[in-house]
Amino acid sequence: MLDLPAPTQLAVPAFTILILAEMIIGWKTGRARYEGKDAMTSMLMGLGSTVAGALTAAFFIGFSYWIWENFRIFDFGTALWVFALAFVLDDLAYYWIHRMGHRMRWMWAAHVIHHSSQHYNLSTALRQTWTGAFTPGFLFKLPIFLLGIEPAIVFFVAGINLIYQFWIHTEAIDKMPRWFEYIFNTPSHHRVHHANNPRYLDANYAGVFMVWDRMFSSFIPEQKEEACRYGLVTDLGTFNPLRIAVHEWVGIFSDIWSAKRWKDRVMFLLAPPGWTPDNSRMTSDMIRNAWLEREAAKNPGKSAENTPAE
Amino acid sequence: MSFIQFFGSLLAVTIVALIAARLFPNKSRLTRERVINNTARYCPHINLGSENPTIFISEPGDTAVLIFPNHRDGVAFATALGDRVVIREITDTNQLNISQTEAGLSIDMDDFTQPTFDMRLPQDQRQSLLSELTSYPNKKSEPAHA
Repeated sequence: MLDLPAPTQLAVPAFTILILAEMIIGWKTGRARYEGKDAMTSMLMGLGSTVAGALTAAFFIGFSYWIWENFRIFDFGTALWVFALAFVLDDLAYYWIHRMGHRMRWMWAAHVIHHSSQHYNLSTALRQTWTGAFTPGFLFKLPIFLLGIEPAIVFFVAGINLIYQFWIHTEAIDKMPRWFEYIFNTPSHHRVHHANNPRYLDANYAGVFMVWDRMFSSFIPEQKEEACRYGLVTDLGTFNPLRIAVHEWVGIFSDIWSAKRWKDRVMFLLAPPGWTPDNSRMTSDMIRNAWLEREAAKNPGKSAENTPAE
Repeated sequence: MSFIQFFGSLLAVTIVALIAARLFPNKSRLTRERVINNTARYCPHINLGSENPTIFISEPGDTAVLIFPNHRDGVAFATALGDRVVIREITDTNQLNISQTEAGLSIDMDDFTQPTFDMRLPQDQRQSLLSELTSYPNKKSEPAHA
């Protein structure tokens, strides 16, 4: 087994220094805002996520190597170009894991944690799930192992991918150069992803390469005239990390328990968040449609839909 | 991750959070304007202009209750969470378990992240709010989040 470092663990001191730097910039210029309890919760969620990851790592490493050793089609070896290929393929897998993390309640139960802050700053990047191991997200990476890339390389590039995503969680940077905004995920694109404005819901799932969103029609640019509001459609009423970590799982189990049909029980897991058999709650599509109807009523003849992609 | 790494991280988290609290102190109280603005954001289907809700704000300014005189959806609860506000719209006040405490009212909510809603109010307002909440007509259940 290839022995590669864990990039995210090495980056922790840099994360801390950058958070402090953003805090000072925000304090001096007003371009970033923090709240003590919110930042503490985000960082505690990050610490908990590291512990949870360490507890489940052996299973995932073992399973990945079992797939790679027994079922791989090619053996790509460990050349530098393999790392580059792994980075692109892992980013594509990340796009679909992330997209399903918003469109399937089972996976949303884990990912919702990352969106649970009403603030958007570098500490929000650390607000990560404790329960990702209980979702089928990992299956999206299996094709990379089957293709023949050694799992250690995939885990290494996934760490680099996560480090890249740290710096985009900020309001202190407005826009990057046009070419950069076109190819890569940036603070502007990711602000849209974290926004709960109906206009911005379910968009910009990319990790590093924004081309996936452009390719799979999920790209929405940030609009100057509509500032992003951050958090969930209905925000959580607590800073308690344990309640934040498990709240959506509690909701799923409660819904499954009270469901009358097996079809509904399955749908409470697989359908988008907010789905109910009687439409008593709203999915993001329903929220968006209701917003479009309100906008159409306010401005007859003018579409509120987003402007075309850049 | 070793125990030293874990407790070192915990210490670093505490220090960074204390610096954040020091640089960005949160002394804002709930006001009528803040409550209205946030309710408009959370409940865009309610026309707050025509509703002109009655708003009870707690003595410390950390919670508030909105009573909508005409709207079918009943009441909304506002809670300051750090420097932000969380709104819960309740469409069936008969389902609420409301109890009087020494300082005000305590309401049990069917909400895992906000199981209780406590409100410190002077005696006269307490009685007034209690009567508003308990006399409200029965409606459908609370819409949960997407």
